[in-house]
Amino acid sequence: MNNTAYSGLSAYSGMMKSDLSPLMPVKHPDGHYAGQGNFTNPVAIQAQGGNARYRQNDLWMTAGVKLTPIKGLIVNADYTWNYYGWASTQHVRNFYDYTAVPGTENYYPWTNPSSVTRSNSDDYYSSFNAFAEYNLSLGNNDHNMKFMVGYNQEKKRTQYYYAGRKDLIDPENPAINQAIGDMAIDGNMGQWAVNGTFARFNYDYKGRYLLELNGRYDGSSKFKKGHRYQFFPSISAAWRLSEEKFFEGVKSWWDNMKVRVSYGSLGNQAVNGNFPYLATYGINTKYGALLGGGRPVAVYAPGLVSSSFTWETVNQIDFGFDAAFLRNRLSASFDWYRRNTKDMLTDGEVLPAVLGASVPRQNAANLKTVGWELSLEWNDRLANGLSYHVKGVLSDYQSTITKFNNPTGLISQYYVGRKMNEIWGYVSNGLFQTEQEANAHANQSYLYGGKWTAGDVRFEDLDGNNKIDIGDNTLANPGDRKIIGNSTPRFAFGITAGLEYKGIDFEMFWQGIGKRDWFPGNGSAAYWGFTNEWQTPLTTSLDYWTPENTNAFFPRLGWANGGNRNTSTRYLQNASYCRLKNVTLGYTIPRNILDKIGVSRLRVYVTGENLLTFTSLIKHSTQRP
Amino acid sequence: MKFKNYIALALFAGMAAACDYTDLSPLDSFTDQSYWKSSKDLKLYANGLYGLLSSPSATLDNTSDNFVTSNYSSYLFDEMTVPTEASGNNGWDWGNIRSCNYFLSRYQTAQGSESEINKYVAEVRFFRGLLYFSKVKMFGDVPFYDKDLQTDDTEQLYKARDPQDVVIAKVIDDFKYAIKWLPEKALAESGRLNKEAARTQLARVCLHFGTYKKYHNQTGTGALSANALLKEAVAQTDTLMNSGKFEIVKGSDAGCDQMPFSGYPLYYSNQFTQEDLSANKECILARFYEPSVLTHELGRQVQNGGMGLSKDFVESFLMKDGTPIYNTGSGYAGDDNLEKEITNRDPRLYQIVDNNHKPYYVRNGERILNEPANRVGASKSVTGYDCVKFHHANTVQQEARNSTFDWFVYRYAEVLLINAEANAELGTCTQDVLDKTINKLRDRVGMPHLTTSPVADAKPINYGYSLSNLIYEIRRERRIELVAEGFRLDDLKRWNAMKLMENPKTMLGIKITPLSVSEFPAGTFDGQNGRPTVSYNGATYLYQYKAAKQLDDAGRKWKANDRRFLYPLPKQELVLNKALTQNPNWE
Repeated sequence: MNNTAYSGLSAYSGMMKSDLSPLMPVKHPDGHYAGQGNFTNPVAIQAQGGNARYRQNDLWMTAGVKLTPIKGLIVNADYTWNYYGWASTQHVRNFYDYTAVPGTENYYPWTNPSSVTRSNSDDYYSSFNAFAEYNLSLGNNDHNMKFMVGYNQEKKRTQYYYAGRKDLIDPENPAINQAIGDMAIDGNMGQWAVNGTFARFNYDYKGRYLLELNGRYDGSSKFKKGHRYQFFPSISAAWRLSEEKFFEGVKSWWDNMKVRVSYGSLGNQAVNGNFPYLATYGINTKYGALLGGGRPVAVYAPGLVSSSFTWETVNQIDFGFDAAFLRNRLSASFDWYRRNTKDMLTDGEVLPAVLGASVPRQNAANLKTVGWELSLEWNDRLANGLSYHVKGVLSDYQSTITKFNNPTGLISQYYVGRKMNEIWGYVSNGLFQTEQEANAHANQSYLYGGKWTAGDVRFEDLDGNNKIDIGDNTLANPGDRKIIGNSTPRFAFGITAGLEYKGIDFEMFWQGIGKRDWFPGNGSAAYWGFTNEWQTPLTTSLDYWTPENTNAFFPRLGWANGGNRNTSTRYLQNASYCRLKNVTLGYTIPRNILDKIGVSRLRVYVTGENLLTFTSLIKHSTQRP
Repeated sequence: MKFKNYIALALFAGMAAACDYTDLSPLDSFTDQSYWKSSKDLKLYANGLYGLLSSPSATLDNTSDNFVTSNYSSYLFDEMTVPTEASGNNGWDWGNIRSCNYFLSRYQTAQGSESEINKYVAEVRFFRGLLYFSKVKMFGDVPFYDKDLQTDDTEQLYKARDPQDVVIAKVIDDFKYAIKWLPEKALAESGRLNKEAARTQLARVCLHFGTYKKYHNQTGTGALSANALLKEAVAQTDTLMNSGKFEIVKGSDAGCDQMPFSGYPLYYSNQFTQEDLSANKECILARFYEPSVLTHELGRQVQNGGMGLSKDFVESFLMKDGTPIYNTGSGYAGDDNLEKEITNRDPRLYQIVDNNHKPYYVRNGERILNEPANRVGASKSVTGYDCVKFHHANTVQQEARNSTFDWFVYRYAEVLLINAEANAELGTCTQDVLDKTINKLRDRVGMPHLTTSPVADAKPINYGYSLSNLIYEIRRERRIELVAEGFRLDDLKRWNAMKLMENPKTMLGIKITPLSVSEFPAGTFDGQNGRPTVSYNGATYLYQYKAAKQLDDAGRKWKANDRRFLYPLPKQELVLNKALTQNPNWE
């Protein structure tokens, strides 16, 4: 839903959620929609609560010119203009909420009084690109060179506002000038621009040795003057062994072999906001207090900003090869890369809370990512016309922090050597089976100050001090926690296979993640099921500990002991999966039949998406990867 | 050839001009350079701090001996754990103090008349005083800052905690400045801070630390000695009382849609659900609410409950003639059921606790009473004593986002109680003082006047030390008059009276007798799903914590220098700043 001035509805309060009473009918016998008072029947809200109309226009116009002033030189220039606008009318209607007790009906409070909000957004974007290429061949086409130089610039201006008013005269007619109640308006405007020049040089000798050099000089409006522009070079070279003389012996079955290496850098300016280096004040146009008879405008102090931050630089070195065999039926490709993200834009070093503000974003960290990608493909066509292909891709990567200022080694921050997405947690080897066992075990009062008893999770005392806690939460003293897993998706794979025969085509695509640890959050109702009085119990959480069910997965029921839901090895889930993402079976009607009806091509097909998923995650929760 | 040159030239020329292409400025926000020019700028900034004043809430006294909650308080049973990181939940958050200091370091460039400018400076200093008052109450020694910090202010960021008395002196300075420069209520914009509110707050601060130092045997020097602070409290409240602008008001029925039963006027409880407090003479400062403009949720919060008044609280009410209930000849009808318990008692009892003499709702001219089952439900009123002080008679007010009755931020009754208590602690509480303070509260509900030597309570609650009858009665009056307004826990701590928590009646509800059982639906108290009960001193009572805690639970007892008088600093803060020390006995 778009922003409105007055809708108290959110996806949470209006829609399905875990505290919806399973005993409440959709409608009462007298025909009125049932409600439960303050958070009511989602069907009733959908039917009676109003609606939102949303319309958007996206217009792109590009004009380009291509000139060939002299032989070998091509000049391209183009200009693009884009208008993207959307408008919405949000009509909120009030309706009576009928609970189980007759005579107590009242307006459903979240849509009362009725209101209309109109929102408008107009974004203008323009870009201009110009580049010139010059091809040069020497020595009887043995030496081929290409030069390219160019310039590009982009600018975007956004503006948005909304106006709303409560208390419609005619509740069915959402017109902004036919309302009599409280008014609200707000809006914002923004802009950003980037530009840069670039140049490229290509050289190849007999198609055997290839070389490319690149350079970019980019600037962004998001950085402070003096830190805006940065130079990003890159170089790559390749060698097609298959064109060499010594390769001729195997050329009959080894069609192509090319090894490549590249090194380059690029800039990243993905920061939130258009002017993150400026400390801008916040405004609330309708502060939540009645001062002087109305809700005034309130101005808030800006946060802290770092004035010196600039582009993130991503340097990457890549080795790889492409190969093809057996008359190009089998092809393989492999890449190994190592990427260093320098000056990563992230929150700086943790400072004491007395600072009173979040530490500003700075170029505070360096990150190293090492990964590889492998792809194998087999394409063939048999004599009888059946053609088939199988392709598999597999990739993996891991990222580690290589620079960050964290002198105390706090685990809650980045630290040198931290693998991204690592999971810190306790080790648990089971549930307490008796109260004596719980009393004899180490003191777990840090996790929950009340009584630990049979059916609660037993956490292991890794540092031997007879207390389960997080120590100092530093690397030197992590207490009883250790790294128990990593939620980076590892070994991502995809398999495509298909065949085509006499107009019938079949294709399937499997996709999955080979290894991934995942811990459901402490409050995840979908996983734990029943953690407070606002939730309706789910069948997936019925396997909880009781004296009769001592081998249960979930601990004993209870709302107070949230300590059981701390990150631990017991509840760490394996989120690896393999999914049949797409299956398509199609048939192309033969030409001879189509010609008779004057249709050039007609294909009928049936396709299914996400048909099968194999994962160990299904057992205990309603989550899906 | 010419073309190539043109293009190259064009590119280079473009590049030179292009450096300005990315030189943009924000279109919809401003920075330091363009602000702090006029008093209007100061006012807009001060507006954003009004969230720090007291807000409508039904749960302010939940952690005290006045209430029993459906889940026991980990604080009161000594199960609290040291928090890991600083956040608003554990009190070690400094964002609001930074907001105040940000203003106080920059307002000097504003142009305008001195009184206009200093009015808003006074508002911000008031808020900073409030914030540091709260920090000192929670943590004791805290680092004091008077300007906003930058990331390279290492000396300030990593300094040790400043001694408590240093910070208290600064807090008092801030309030004195506020008293000097805030306008009087009659001249102030509605809802904004005024001079009288600052006096009330200063009196509150001085009473708190004055009595804390006295009862914890802490010496303070000069202006911060117990006696000096108490005298300041007396002085501020005297000024308010002598101004003649405020009085104790008998709340109107029309102002809160109420229709009391004859013989049971609701002059006390009506005050807390008034739609409009702007002309109410008991109101020093209020939060105003208006339908469709600004609403709150207190009406709904009171109904959803999860808390109920304790047996101990209900027993603290005197008889209508001023006699303590367990004194011989008091006429106490006993507590075999609620009706008997409230017969002939202080009229505030039938106005605070839900019973058959106060309409729960008034709908279409009809008085409707509450369901008895709601009075004892675990997620309703837990103990059988439903606190309906903030319960509005109009059903519409109970809906979400529909409560529009105004909320007292500073109430004159508190001023009178501060004056009486401070005088009594100093030994200067004469009958004249009582007539101007406590007895005004008594007059509102038609109770007889308190004298300087009241009759002793035959079964007093155990403070752990002896105190004069006068102070005992003044404390009783304060407990009843200010219930559910968020004062009780601080009062217990400053009086060093946590021994009161050991009284089992602070955890019990109604007495279970055949008579009281008959008033509830069948099965409410028996069977596996019946409300839990416990026997104590020969009688059976409703006891919410039966499954979890014994009546003599060790965690409920407070030691002489119990660590819980102060809250723990978050662990991470101690790791980051080695100069910070943890509060005693918090690991």
